[in-house]
Formats: sequence, structure tokens, C-alpha cells
Amino acid sequence: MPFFRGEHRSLSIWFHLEPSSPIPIYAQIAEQVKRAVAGGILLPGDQLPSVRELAMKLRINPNTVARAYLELEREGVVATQRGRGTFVADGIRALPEVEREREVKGDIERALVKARDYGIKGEKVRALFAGAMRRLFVKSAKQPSKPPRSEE
Amino acid sequence: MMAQVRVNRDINSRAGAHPDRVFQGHSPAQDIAIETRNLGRMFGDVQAVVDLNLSVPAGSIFGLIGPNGAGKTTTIKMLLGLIQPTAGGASVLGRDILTDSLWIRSRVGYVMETQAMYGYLTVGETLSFCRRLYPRWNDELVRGYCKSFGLPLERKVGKLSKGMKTQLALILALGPDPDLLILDEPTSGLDPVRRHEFLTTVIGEIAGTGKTVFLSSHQLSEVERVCDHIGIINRGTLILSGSLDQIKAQEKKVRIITQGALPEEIMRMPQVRKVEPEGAGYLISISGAVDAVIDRLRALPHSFLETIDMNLEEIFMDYVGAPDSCKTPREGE
Repeated sequence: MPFFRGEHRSLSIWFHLEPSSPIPIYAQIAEQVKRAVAGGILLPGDQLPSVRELAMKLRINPNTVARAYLELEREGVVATQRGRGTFVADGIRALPEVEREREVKGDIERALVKARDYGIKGEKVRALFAGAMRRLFVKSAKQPSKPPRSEE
Repeated sequence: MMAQVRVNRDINSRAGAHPDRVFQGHSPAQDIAIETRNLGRMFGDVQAVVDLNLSVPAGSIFGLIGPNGAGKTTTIKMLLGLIQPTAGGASVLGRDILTDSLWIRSRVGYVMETQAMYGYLTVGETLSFCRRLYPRWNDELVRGYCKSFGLPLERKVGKLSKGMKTQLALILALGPDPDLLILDEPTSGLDPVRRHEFLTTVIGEIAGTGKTVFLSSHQLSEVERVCDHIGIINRGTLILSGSLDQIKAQEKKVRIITQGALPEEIMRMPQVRKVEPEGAGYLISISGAVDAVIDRLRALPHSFLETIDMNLEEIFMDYVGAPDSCKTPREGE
């Protein structure tokens, strides 16, 4: 849903909701706002639509939107100014390091649970992991992030 | 040794034979918009509603779902004092349905499944008729909606299309500024555009007001989208109710291929609702503390194990649809 006109910037983001997903709708909304912030689509100071506006646009329960905003506020992604609305928090630019690590950790754990459920043994899992690491990271690991300095 | 899979506990096979499953959040009495206590209604010797214990949190959008003839409309009519219960009681907005039904009706907006309106009155006449019945009537709001829906005030109600009749019914329900909106199959028979518009209107009206919506519907995808609480009713009995997110977290299936038969102790776990043979393995329906069962299953020697999430339609069909399909054939109980 394209939705809003920021106070300072005119922009829109699109929410894609899957009501039948096991992920609660409020979490889907919060996640998509966070991704928009992390990706730089939403900038600090941008105004989110009102609870009523977004609920009507998405045809969902206003309580669900309010809960998503509360969650985002709790995590410091947005700040609500009484009577004015909800804004992307100052100083928020991308997902904080811990948050990113937490997500990756979750993904790894899910993969490990699947491996266990499929009866794949520990050494095999380690080999698969090492293989994937080699395939995906080998190039970037060999390339130093900074150009080599001349005195080295 | 077990050759056959036994149904551990079939929650929906006999109406009234099992306890209601209620997932409850916090619930002080004043936070409850609707509460029924062992509510029941007989029609002759037919039990339309049996021992219904329902709790609708104030400010929620509650979806009552169930097959045709499950007792949804009978329940709604009892809440509004339009028919009397034959057992139990209920309170709506804190007032008793037996003694305070007039007060309740003044605070509740009601859209019926089939709109009972006077076909010989025009839209305008219908509005001025209803306005006089309600002290809290919001004329500005009503006019605004008539305009935005494009309802012709001079047309006879009998000549309105189905969509327009539903819109008029919704306007009449919203006019008295109700604290509770009861919608009985409000969008059945409406095209997707009108259905969309109907829901958007309801959502816009209740947002930030603390108003409660209690709706019955067959549109499960719609319920899943809009409702934060649901109740599943079948054959007059409440089978499952609570917060939708919580229900989804607590209703899972596990597909497992074990080495050897499934141990009896798994089947005896209270969360295990039913066990069905599936190919070389089993499909296990779990309700409640899912992780405890899954941990036990993981500890078994197995070659395959997968947890399956269920959407509302799957949960609904699992409890209500084809109630005997899960039973092992020819196993007398």
C-alpha cells in the first residue's frame, strides 16, 4: 500500500501483508518498517501514517497497527510525539549491529534445527557450513577491505 | 505394539463432551465487552447453543466463526435480547441481557444477516425514523456516510441494491455512536469492492475509540486479516477461542517418520489432539504447549520431522470440517 506524505518529504512505502502467515500481522508491519529504515527508504524524522490511516489502508485491526508502532517505539526505531504523530527516530539509520547479528543467529539456528530434524549428523552439518562459507565468503575474505598500505 | 493409530483425543466429535479451550489474556471484568456464562438455547428439543462461555475483550475485533447452523445468529440474538436464553446468562457492556436489554440495544449497533428494513420508506425517511429512537444519534456522521456511499435519500429502501441496503444498515448501526458493533455475516453477498469499503468504514469508525466489534463471518481470510480475537463454534458449542496470534502459535501439526511405532506416551500427552497415519509416518495435531511435544518427538529415533504452521482456515477445518475423518475406521469407542 503506498501510503504517506512525510512532514518533510513526500514518499511512500508498500506494505505486503500475509494474514495467514504464522508471523503475527503486527510483527510483519514492524519488520517492514524496520527494513525500510535499514534500507534508507525511511529517514529519521519521516512521519509514519496514523494508526487509523494505516489500518484503513491495510484493512486491518487498528489495535494491530498500534501494537506494531508500540513495538517499534520500544525498539527505538520510531518515536511518538503526543498529538503530532509517529516519526522515525533520530539517529536511526540502519539496523544496529546486535540486531543484525541476532537475525543471522536465528537463521543459523533454524537451519540447524532442520538439519537435526532431517537426521543430518554434526560432522556433516559442519562440512556443509564450511562449504557454504567457502563458496560465499572466500572471495571477500581474500580481498582486504582496505587497500594494502605501502609501508606494509 | 500398535498396528493402528489410535485417536488420542478428538475434541470435536461430540458436542459438549469436552471442555472449552480458552486461551485467555488479562481480563478484568470491566475490560470485557461481552461475557456469556453457560449460555444455552433450546428450540424444541434441538440444542442451538450449548454451555457457551465466551469472553470478548473491550476494544477488540472479535470474529465468531462456524459452519451454517452452528449457533452464531442465535447467540447474537440472545446478546441483544431478541430471543431469550433457555440456560445460563450473559452480560453485554457490563449489563445483564435479561434485565437490561433495552439499555444494551441503545449502546449496540447491529447489522443483521438479512437487513430487516421497511421497504416502503425512502432512505431519508428511514434515517429520520431511526434518529428519533436514539439519544446519541450522530446526524453529521450519518449524512457524511450517505454522501460518501452515494446513497440516494429519496429512493425507497425496497428498491435498493443488496450492496446499498448493507451500506444503509451499517449507517443505521453507526448512527447511535455505539460502544459495541455487532455484525452478523455483514459482508455475505457483497462484491469484493463493497466488502472492502464496508470493512474500511468499520475500521475507520472504531480506530482509537475503544469501540468493540463482534462479527460473525464465513470469510475466513477476512477474519484472519481484521480480527484480533476469534471464537470457533460448532453445533452450538464453543470449540476454541482466544487471541488469534496466540491460537496460531498454539495450534501446530508435526509430520514425523519414526523408526517403529509411535510410543503410547506421546499419544497420552494432553497437547496431542489427534494422530493420523500419513504415508510411512504420522501427522500429529498439537494444541497448547507445542514445544514440549516437539521436544519429545525429536528425542525419538526418526528419519524425518517437520513442524507445520496452520492458517486460520486450516485450523478451522481441522476442528470443524469432516469431524470424523480423523478417526480410525471401525474402531469402536
